[in-house]
Amino acid sequence: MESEVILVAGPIIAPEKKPASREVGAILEFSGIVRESEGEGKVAGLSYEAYEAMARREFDRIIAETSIRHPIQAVLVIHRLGDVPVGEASLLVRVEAKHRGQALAFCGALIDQMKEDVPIWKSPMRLTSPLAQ
Amino acid sequence: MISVKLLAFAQAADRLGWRDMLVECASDETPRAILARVAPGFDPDNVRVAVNCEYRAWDDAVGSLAQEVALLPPVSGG
Repeated sequence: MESEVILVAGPIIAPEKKPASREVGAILEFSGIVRESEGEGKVAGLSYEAYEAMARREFDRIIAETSIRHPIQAVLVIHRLGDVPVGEASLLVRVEAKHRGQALAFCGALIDQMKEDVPIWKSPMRLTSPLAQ
Repeated sequence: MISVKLLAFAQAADRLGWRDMLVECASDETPRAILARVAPGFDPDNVRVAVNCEYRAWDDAVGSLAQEVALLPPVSGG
């Protein structure tokens, strides 16, 4: 299984989709997009910080453990750090598997576990003009 | 004695007022004891601790190989 984890300060640029092998029958791509509502108010975006060394290790651990339950051919994870404006992607997960069921199950399980264990935190970027709220 | 880097992130850093600090400690000292010494009054409830990038229990000794002890509030990536 191929896996790659990227933590990036700028916008997420998804690399070209190219199946990892001739056994790949499904490519699933999930993008997490920053919404304008966060909690009870509107925000200009979200600011992400990470304990980067540990975040990479935790992603690697979660990918290895999840792939035992849901075998796949390849996974790419890109998580953005720093300020992410509303409407832009903070997360991209691309999964390649033999069948769609494995890809869907892997992707869901990976993201669920990420939200439990990967040391990345978001905080709201407040709108500067009260009229904009 | 060993020298470890204490790291605080997100809300933990906000509450403590610092993001990193070098501390001297014994290898059999626990993260809870170290934190109580350098930040008395800080309540570690809802904060997890990691030693050298691995989640650990608050009451386990940091060990002689400890280089970084990180305070990790609930994560919210994605």
